[in-house]
Amino acid sequence: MKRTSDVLIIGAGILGCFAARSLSRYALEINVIEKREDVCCGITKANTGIIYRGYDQHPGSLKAALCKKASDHFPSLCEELDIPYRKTGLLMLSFGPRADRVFQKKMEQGKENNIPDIQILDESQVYQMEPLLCDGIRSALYAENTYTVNPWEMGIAAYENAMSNQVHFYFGQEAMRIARMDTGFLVETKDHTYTASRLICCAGLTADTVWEMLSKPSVKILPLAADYLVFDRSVGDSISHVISVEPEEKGDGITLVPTVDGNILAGPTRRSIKDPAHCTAAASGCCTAAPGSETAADVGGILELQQKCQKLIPSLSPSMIIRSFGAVRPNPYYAEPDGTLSQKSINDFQILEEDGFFALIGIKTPGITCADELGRYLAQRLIGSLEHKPPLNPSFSPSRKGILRLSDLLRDDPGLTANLPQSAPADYFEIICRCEHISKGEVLEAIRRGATTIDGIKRRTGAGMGRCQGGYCMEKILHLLKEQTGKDVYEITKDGPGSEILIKL
Amino acid sequence: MNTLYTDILIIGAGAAGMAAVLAAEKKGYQKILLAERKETPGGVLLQCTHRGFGLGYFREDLTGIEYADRFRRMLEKSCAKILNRTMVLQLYQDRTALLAGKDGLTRVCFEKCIMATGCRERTIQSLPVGGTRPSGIMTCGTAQKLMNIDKLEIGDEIVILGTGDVGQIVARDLIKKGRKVLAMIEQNDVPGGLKRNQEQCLKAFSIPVMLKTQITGICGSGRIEGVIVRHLDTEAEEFLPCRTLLTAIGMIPEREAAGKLLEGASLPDWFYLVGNCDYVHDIVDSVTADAFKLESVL
Repeated sequence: MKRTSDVLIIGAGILGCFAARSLSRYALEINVIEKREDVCCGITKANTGIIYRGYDQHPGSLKAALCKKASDHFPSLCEELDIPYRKTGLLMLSFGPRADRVFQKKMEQGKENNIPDIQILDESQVYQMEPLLCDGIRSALYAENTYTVNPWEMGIAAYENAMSNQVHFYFGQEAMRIARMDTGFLVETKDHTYTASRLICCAGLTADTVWEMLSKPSVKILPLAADYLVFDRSVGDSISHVISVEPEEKGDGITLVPTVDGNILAGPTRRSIKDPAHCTAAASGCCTAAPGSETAADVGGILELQQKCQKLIPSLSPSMIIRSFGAVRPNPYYAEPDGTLSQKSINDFQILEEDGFFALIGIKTPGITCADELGRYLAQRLIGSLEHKPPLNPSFSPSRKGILRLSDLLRDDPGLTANLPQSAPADYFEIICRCEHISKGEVLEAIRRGATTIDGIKRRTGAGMGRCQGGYCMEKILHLLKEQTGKDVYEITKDGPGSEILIKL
Repeated sequence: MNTLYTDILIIGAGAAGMAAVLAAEKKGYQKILLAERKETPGGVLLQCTHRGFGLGYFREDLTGIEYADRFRRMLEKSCAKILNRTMVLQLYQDRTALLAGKDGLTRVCFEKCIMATGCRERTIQSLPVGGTRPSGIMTCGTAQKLMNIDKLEIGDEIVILGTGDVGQIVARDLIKKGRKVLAMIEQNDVPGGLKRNQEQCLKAFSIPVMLKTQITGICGSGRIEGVIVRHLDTEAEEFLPCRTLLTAIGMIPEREAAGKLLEGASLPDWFYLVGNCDYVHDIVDSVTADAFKLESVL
C-alpha cells in the first residue's frame, strides 16, 4: 500500500514524537513510521530523565540556546501535555579542589548562558538539604530549576497530542530503502511505500544508517553503553535533589535521581562499545565477549554503581535495589568521506539538512531536556525550506490529558479525605499492580490509548515498575490484554514480536 | 467514601489470615473484617497442587488447595465479614486503614489490626546480573500460578535459578508435563529446600543441579536465549542456552502497607504481624500455628 503525506518522519522516539507535534501546528499531512511496535522503545526509555538547566553547555552553542529555553518552558510544557514531573533541583557535589575550580568555571559559563539562578553552597547548606550524604563534601553547585521526568511519558504525551492533531503513526515499519524522486522522497518498508515532499530522520541509534541510505556519510554514531540501578520507593526519600558528583579522579562520578515515581535512579556508568555491529545484534552467547547488545547491562558496572551509591549515601543498601539495566547513548563523530572518524565526539546537536531531507543524528544529553525545542527548531527549519509557508492547522490543540492515576489522587491527600471525582469508574479501585497501586481502570485506559504489550502498559501506567517487577501484575495484565485486544494469550509479548511472554508447545 | 467500623481488621486471607480469623473468634471477638485482594480466600495455597500440607495441623498429607479448602469451610461458619477483591493500601497511626476494591474506596476504623500479607518472591532484577532484559523470565511462584490456576503453558528449555522448595516443586511439575528442565543453578555446595523435596523432586526426577554456580548474565533480544553461568570455584563462565528462566531465590516479607507503623522501636500495641509477613516460614503448618498463637495475645 502507498501512503502519501507532506512530511514523513522516520522514528517515533521522543524526538520523532515532538517533531511530529511541532509540525502538526501547520496544515500539513504528516506520517510517522516506527520500526518497533510502540513509541519510545529505543534510547528514549533508558536515561536519567533529568531536565537540565543548561549552565553546562558551551556558550553560543545550539545546545546552550535550546537547553535554556527548554528548561524555562518545562513546567508549562508539562502543564500543557499533562506530564508528571518533579522539581528537584540539582546538587553537584565537590569533594576536592578540582571540583571547586570546575564550579567556578561553571558559574561563569552559567552567566554567559544567561542562567543567573545557580549558586555555590557551602558544606553546611548541603548537609542541611541532604542530611544522609556521606562526609567529606566541601561545597556544591546548586541549580534550583532542575526537574526530573520519565522520558517515555514525555514522548507518549507528545505522541498522543500529535495523533489528536491528525498525525498518523504506523508501527512495525522499518525503512528499508529511501529514494529521491522529482517531487520528494520515497521510503519503502517491508510491506508499504511512503512518499513525502519532506523527510525527517529521528531514528535514534540508527539515524546515521538511515541518513546514508540517501546521503554521503557525514556524522557517525558510536554507541556508548551505560548501566543503571533503581532503588525501591521505600528508600526514595533518602534524597530530595538530583545528586551528582564532580569527581576529583576521572571515573568517580555518579548521579542519583529522585524519580517522578518516588524511586531513586542511579547511574550511569560509562563504557564504550567496542564493536558497534554488536549493538543491535542478537546476543546469543556473546554477552561476555561483547557486552554490547542493544541494552545489555554489565555486571561489573552494576557492582560499581552499588558501591558508589553506598559510598555516597551510606544508608542506601544494595538490598533495596529492585532493578538494573543497560542502556546506550548515541555518541556522534564527524566522518570523513573515506570513512575515518574525528578524534573527539561532537559536542553540539547535529541537525543535518540536504535538499528537504533533515536528520537528527547522535542527539545525546541534554536531548530529553531539549526534545520539545528540537522539535520546534526542526519544524521551523522545515517550514522555512518550503516554497510556500503552509497555513496553520485550524484545529490544532496543544493540550493533552494523561491517564488519571489512582496513586496521584491518593497521594494528594493521604489523610483519607481524598476528594475523589465522583466520576471515577469502579475499575479505578481494583488494584492490578500491588507495588505501585495501579488500578484496572488505568490499565484499560492504556490499552485504549494504544498499548499492545506488557511494556507498553508499563510505560503508560507504571504497572510492573515496582519492587516485585511484575511478579504480581504481569499475569493480570496478560488477561486484560487478551480480553481487550482479542489476541490469543500466547501472542502477547513483552515488547514486540519475538518477545512472547508464554510459549505453548 | 464508605466507612466501616470493626473490632479487628485482618489483612490477607492466606493461611495466616484465615487462621487469624479463627483465633480472634475463639478469643471472643465478634466484629472481624477480613480483607483479601484476590477473588477468594486461600492465598498462595490455591496454586499449590502438590502434597505436603497439613502434616502438622491436620495429621494428613493434603494438597495446598485441600488445606485451603478446610480453612475456607471453617471461615464460612465464622462471623467474619470477608471483603474479597479488596486491597489495603495503607494503614495509619489513628487506627484507620484505606482500602480499595470492587466497592470503591473504603475507610476502616478498627481497634486492632492483624497483618497477614505473606511474602513476595525476590526477583532476579535485584541481583547484580548483566546482559539484556528479554521475555521468558519470571519467578517460580508466578510460573506456578500461570500453570496451576490459569492452566497456561509458560515455555520450554528451562533453567531455574535457586534450588529452594518452590523451585524444586515447579521443576518437578514442569518435568511431569514433559518440559525440559536443563539445570537448577545453586550458589552453595548443597541444594536448598526441605529434605523431602530433595528426595521427591531432585532425586526422583533426576533434576540436574549445578552447584557452586551463579548467573551473571542474561542473553537474548526478544525472548531469552541463554544465561551466563559462573562457576564460583574456577571463576570460569559458560553460556547455557535456554528459552525460559525461572527464579527461586528467596522470599521477602511483604508489609509495605504498614508504612510508618514499622518505623518505631516496637510495634503499636494494637498491631500484629503473623505468618510470612513477620518472617518467612518453611512450611504452611507453622504459619497456621503462628496465627493461632494470636489467641493468647489479642
